[in-house]
Amino acid sequence: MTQISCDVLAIGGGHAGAEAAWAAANLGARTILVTHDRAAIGRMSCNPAVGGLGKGQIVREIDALGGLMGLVTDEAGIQFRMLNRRKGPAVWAPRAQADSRLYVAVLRRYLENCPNLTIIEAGVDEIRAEPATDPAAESRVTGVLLNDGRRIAATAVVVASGTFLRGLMHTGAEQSAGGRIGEPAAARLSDSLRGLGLTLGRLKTGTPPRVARDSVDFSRLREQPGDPDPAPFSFMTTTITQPQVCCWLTSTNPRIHELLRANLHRAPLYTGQIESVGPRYCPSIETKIVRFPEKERHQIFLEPEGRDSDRIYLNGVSTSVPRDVQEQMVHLVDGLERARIVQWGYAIEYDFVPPEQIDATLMTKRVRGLFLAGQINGTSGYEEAAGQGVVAGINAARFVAERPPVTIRRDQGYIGVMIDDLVTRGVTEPYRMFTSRAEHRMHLRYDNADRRLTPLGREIGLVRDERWRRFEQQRIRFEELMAVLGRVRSEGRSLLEWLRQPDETGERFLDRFPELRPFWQARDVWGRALVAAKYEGYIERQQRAIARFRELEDCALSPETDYDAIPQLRHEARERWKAIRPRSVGQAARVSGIQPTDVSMLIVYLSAQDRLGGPPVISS
Amino acid sequence: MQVPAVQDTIVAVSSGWQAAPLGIVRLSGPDSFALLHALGVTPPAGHVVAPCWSAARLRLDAATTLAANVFWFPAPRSYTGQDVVELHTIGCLPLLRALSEHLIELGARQAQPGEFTARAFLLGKLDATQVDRVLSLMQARDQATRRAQARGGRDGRRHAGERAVERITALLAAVEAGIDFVEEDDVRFVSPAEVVRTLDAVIADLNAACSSGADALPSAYPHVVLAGLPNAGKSTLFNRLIASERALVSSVPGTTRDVLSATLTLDSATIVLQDCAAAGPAGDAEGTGAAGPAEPEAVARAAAANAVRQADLVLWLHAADTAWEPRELEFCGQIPRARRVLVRSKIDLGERTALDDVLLPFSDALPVSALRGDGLVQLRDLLARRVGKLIPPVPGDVSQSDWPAAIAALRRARDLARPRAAGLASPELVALELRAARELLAGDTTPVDEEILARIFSEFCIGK
Repeated sequence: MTQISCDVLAIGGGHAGAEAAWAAANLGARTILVTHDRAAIGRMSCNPAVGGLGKGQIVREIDALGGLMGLVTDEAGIQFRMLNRRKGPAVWAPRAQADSRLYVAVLRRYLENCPNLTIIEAGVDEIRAEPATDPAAESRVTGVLLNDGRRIAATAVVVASGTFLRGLMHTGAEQSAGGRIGEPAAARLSDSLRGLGLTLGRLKTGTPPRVARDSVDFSRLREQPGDPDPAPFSFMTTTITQPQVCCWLTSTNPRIHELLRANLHRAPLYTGQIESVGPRYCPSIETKIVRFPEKERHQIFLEPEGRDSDRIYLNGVSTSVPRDVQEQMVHLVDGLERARIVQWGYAIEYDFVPPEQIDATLMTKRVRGLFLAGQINGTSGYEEAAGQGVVAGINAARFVAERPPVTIRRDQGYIGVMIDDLVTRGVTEPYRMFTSRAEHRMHLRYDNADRRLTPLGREIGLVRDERWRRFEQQRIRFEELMAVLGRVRSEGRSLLEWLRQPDETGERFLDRFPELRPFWQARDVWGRALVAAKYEGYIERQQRAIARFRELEDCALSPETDYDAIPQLRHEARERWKAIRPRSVGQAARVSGIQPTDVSMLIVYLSAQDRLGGPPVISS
Repeated sequence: MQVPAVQDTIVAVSSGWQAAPLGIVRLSGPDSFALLHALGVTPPAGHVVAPCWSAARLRLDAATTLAANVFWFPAPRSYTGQDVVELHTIGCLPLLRALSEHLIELGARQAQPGEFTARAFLLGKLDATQVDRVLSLMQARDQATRRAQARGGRDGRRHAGERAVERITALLAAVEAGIDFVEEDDVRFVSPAEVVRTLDAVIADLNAACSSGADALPSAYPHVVLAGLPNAGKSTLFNRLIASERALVSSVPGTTRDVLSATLTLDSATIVLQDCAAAGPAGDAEGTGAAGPAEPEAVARAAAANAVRQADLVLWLHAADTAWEPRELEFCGQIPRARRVLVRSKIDLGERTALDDVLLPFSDALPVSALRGDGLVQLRDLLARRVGKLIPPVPGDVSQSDWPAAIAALRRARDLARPRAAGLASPELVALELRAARELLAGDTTPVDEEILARIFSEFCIGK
């Protein structure tokens, strides 16, 4: 049998695996994507939507770096909404319903036409490694063994297994192994990871039932339209061409709550059948009625899975109660009295690798060349997965090329916040992004994702000429506009000063100052000028905070730092740092349980090491 | 998190343990001289080349000035190697604290415990081989400060600060929820009117605490706690040392329920002496569940454990006529040597010169008879000596010096919440100010997001 070989091998065709494969292949690595089923690439296991608070910003960042998710969503999106539009632009976030079939088709088209990328349909049974020569790691990846017996040699492997690692689905007392309805689990990969010295944990998530569109009485539902002028995710998209659809709103009622309460003894979450931790922000309907018994109704969003799809996703009633209870529950909902369930809700438990075992490059600390991305790191959500996929793909390609890894800092993007949270603090439940996690939220905006990350993407090599040209054009136009706004005066004030007023959009100046018109038409540019004007003082303040943050962040720490050698350090600080092995003094300061004096002592110690001519442990 | 970056200017009240006749406020950093200028002090000629001093009146506000001797140490001829100013004035802690808070308002930063020394080290004024000494000082000063802060638990200001942090965090959770969970249009988090109302209340509370003059002075004195097995003679010795009858002296184990405190003036220092009967290992007699629900016992034990943890020195009493018990050895062994003074009490009952006393590392215990008065002079001398060796905490409360800045941030948050009634127009800016205020008041380094999320998920039913 011929031995296949490649530079980077990505396991899993979900949102993390797809981005990883795309990034690695585009950086010139000979890449293989292994997936159970080519037709399931980018399949949306949960709701057919992309974006939202924090998540929408991540998609913009993926796009700014040269990733896929924004482009695919723009092409497959059938309802776009800019959330929080009535609040400040720092917290605006795009969200879109996607046609899930189209999403898969578009993503697949990108990947199948991607040079350097081969897709192989198989499962992976084993990740192979050999003892490492590098003293910091134990072993080094050499390739994988497929479930059809084939071996593939690879210099770097990205595991993006989603919920497939020993996935176990629950609907009532029924349990079945699988990564998703109708798809097999990755049964043997967990043992292989354990064999490489990694520790595994278990998490849980869930999904609601889907109903047939033609069985829904829409006359009883409230319509929820999208924005009339859909704003695209990608900086490369000028207009959304897909015809737009609407969603619908309904809710649960006390009769449903009564029904669920009467059947709690059959709910796997309450019988002890499921022990793993699920996400607090995505509670099942049975959890909601138990935790908030005083609430008489819970919203249900009816989201079409596609423009022509006959399936409707019931967002808000994720559940794993038995089928007969699901059926009764659905029929008690206004508008769903005669609804036909086409897929049962279920909960799924799956293995993950507690993320203290990777560093911010997403490479495991134990195994060189082994990268983890997505739910395997304890996250949830397509966007979170995709964001990690890009970083893992970039670093896998750079690992192969023997180039230094790239990390995204907390002040550069939500992707940076997420990865730093994961590797520094670990997870206790599936991790989801919220804007409240970002201390530099005023800076990590939807509108400036390109300015934050496209130069980095260009430097890495993922941003192609066309994107770069557009980025430069936008930048120049923005500077021109700012100059005009500073120069043109009305009633004794510059337009820039006028724009600082709340609710002032600047539209009223268009007639008097025709030189503004071309900028007004370029909505992006005008929007950025508004943000710059309205947030002026705050942006400066945030920049100062970022500068302070950077001082510690740029203070690199060697993973081999000997914390036992620091005299007088508190025992707890010593143990926490030994467990995490932070890569910068800033990261060391964020480790839980660390106090300011611990960090001060670390700095003093490092400076003494420097002066005594020890190994260079600190640089700035 | 504040760590010894060396670019900014730090300030601290830097006198020792307690209100001495003279108090010192010290500044180090590039803006030290400029900050003095802001206090209306003109430096003497030549202050930029050589250390010198001048008498001056420091202007605290339009109406208040304070007489001080100002010592100017230009870089690099100073302790830290930076421009350093020392302000020597009256040793009144509230006054010194006000002065340091004023300097913080003008742009200085409150120094962390040991930060002046850390700076001196980082800037090469101390030899690299002295790193052990520097680290040990930083650790000791941090611990002493923590102990003093923990003791200040009943201080009115501290209480108000904790209350404010709690209310700000709750408010922040609601404001953040309104940003991150916009799709839940059936859940209402907080109205602008509620934000304004809450913030007005928090600001008023903080201001009241600031002006009430509540003072944590006693918590800044070195604390010495009497500990030992029941019946070791703690209360008798306590009474003898403070020469009063405040403690109930009894031979029934565990009769002194509360922690009794008294200030005691030694030759060179004032200390707080504390007596708590339960300050020792749990005894067999107390532990045999037959006694029923021993709740007061548990309370007393917890209070005592706290007192021991927060003490700068633990005076361990061992009755001379008894043998060392294993639980006593274990408990005593857990107290660091630097914080432990051993006494053989009740020597009037006859000394038990058993072999174990000689072999144990405790053989140097000071023999005392509270009844007859033997050894009391030596004990006072020993205490004075040991207290003199202790590293003092940072005077005042590190966490309270940033209050004026916190109150200013809260005012900005309130003003931002005002303009619209329909919903917060700029929740992201309100949140920014609330976070800034919270960080200044709490003075901690734990990222706040997990706490905010925990509150959101426990209070509101959200998530699809």
